[in-house]
Amino acid sequence: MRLFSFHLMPYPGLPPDYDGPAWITCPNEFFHPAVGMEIYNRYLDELILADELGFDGVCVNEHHQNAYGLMPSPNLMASILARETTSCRIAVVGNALPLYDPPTRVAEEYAMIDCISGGRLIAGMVVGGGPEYYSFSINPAEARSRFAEAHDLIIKAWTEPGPFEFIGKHYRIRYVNTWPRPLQRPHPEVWIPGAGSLETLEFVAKHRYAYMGIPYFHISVFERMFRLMRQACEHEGYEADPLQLGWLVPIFVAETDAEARERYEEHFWYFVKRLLPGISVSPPGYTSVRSLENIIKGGHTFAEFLDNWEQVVEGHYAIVGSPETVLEKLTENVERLGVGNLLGLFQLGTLPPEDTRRNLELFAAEVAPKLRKRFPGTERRAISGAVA
Amino acid sequence: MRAALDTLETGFFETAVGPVMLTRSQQLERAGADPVVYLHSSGGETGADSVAPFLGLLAESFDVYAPMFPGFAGSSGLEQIDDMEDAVYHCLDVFERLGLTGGRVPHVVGLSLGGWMAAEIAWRHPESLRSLTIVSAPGIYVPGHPMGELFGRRFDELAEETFADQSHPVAAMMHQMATVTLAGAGAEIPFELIRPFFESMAAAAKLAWNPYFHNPKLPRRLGRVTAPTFVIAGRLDGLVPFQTSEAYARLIAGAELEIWDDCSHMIPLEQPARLAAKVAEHASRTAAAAG
Repeated sequence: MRLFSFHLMPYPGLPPDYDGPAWITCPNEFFHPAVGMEIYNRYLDELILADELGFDGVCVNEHHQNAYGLMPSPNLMASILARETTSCRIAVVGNALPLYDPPTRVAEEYAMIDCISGGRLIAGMVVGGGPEYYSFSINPAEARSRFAEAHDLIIKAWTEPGPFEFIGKHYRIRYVNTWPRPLQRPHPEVWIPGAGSLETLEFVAKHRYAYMGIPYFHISVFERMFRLMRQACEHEGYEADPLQLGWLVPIFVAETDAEARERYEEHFWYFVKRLLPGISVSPPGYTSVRSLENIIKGGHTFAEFLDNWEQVVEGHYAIVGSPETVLEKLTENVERLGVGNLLGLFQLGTLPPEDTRRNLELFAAEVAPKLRKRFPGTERRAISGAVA
Repeated sequence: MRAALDTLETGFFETAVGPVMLTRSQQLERAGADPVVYLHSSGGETGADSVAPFLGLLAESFDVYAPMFPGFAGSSGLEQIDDMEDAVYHCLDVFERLGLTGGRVPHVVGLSLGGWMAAEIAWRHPESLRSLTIVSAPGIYVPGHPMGELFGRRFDELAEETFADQSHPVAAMMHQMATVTLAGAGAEIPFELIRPFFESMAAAAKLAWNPYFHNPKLPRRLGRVTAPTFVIAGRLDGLVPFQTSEAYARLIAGAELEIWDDCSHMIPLEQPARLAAKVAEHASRTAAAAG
């Protein structure tokens, strides 16, 4: 079992009377740079703390023009973490490849982070969220084919000697000759986040990468998603390694169950009711018809539609409670889902710094050792690309 | 009008990019009946649906052909079409396969996306159409009067912006669909109900996502159009401002312009008789001028 601390770097200060989406059209006058100065540094401290507490890795991700996550460039964050952390993996989950033109930029920046960090990068690659196709005016009908082509170009840039010419449908580069090259050979471990799109599952299975299930759905949706992922691997002729599966879930630990809910619930609702609205925009052509049909099956369980805490608990939307409760629920779900990577969101919504710190410390001290003991044998092993 | 509807038939038609759906008059090449091609909007209306009354009326005096564009329900080949230029050459391929060349060059009528497509055909290959009628068409960016958002909108909002009469059956259905949300009905939404809309929007996005429903070069190309042109728009159109149609009329030499005060965007659906009469009148004037 590998344990990761994932940070979204949310904006905690949306005005109380604003009830619009947190994406695409959320007015940027709501962003106060003074708050930004404080929270960027605080959030980085929280990721650095996770390294100090012995987490296997930290995760950052990419989103644009929104209040949900303030990392239009996760690579800036990862480059800071490459210097400020010492032993944890740095998972960028991921770069939204179609937003980079040419995508050799991703090959370059990831290689820089991998060199600076001493080969600790996990190279996430993602199609990008639906809202990003509005924010960048990139044609969503080309999202999948751009992603696939950009991926091929990046892997080729890392693994084949340059210079070479690349002629694709979307990208034509006369001289591909990426300096630097990544430290990990043949290349860093690749993670692909997804929300159940069949094309993505098949892509991950084919390349033997790891699939990170995008959260905020009822646990049954994850069960189904990972079952489909295992089937896709079988279809490719092999059995899925648990390390190819990752479950991302909000986690909050306090001394007792009652205290945990008391301290956590309002921050969870800020996240769900203020920051999620708008995230699930699906522009035309972004998802294939067969995948849309698949995704819609779980759509009504999306966290944004939750009404009360009982539903949160029942659907395992967040794992909240005493160390014993959290251990029990995580164990139950890791078994149920068969995942080898647990990606915890230890800060969510407006959760303040002291609660976040205490959460991380309690988890590391009281929960992590027992989880590792219960799910041994997969520590710090990479699934694709050997560690240098 | 019912009799007119019965004169249409719909089936598959083979093209260079694959089979597409085609609605056409049952009886073709009747004496005195010119061919007319109808190019549909982003809504994908052709055949035995909302636009059938309009096509049926046209069929009284024309040989009607209404092809469904690739990617729209039932038509394949979208993967071979990247942009408006590909769209134009697909349409020309359809014209040729239908024998609509030489003495049977068609009148072309297009609604919205289809009107823009018709204009793109008309400047590239002016000889390929007998007359051009563009209705509620985008395609030109008019500063100060940008087109509204089509993609990702609620059905009820779109109905408000595109229909003058909210009790029109299609507008009423769009209001009805807006009440069915993912949160409420969830898994119970029959996927087949939303599938056509989903496919239509995906196909439209391929042509019109960026630049958003316009071709920056179109204004300096429209001077090449030689087909007699009739431009029509509704003053109440909340999606494509009528000023876009004014720009078309200004840029196409000799174009006739009408802005109908009581109309919105979906004129062929809301005013089938009035529009069909206009198209016939325009066509007969064209014939008189040519003759």
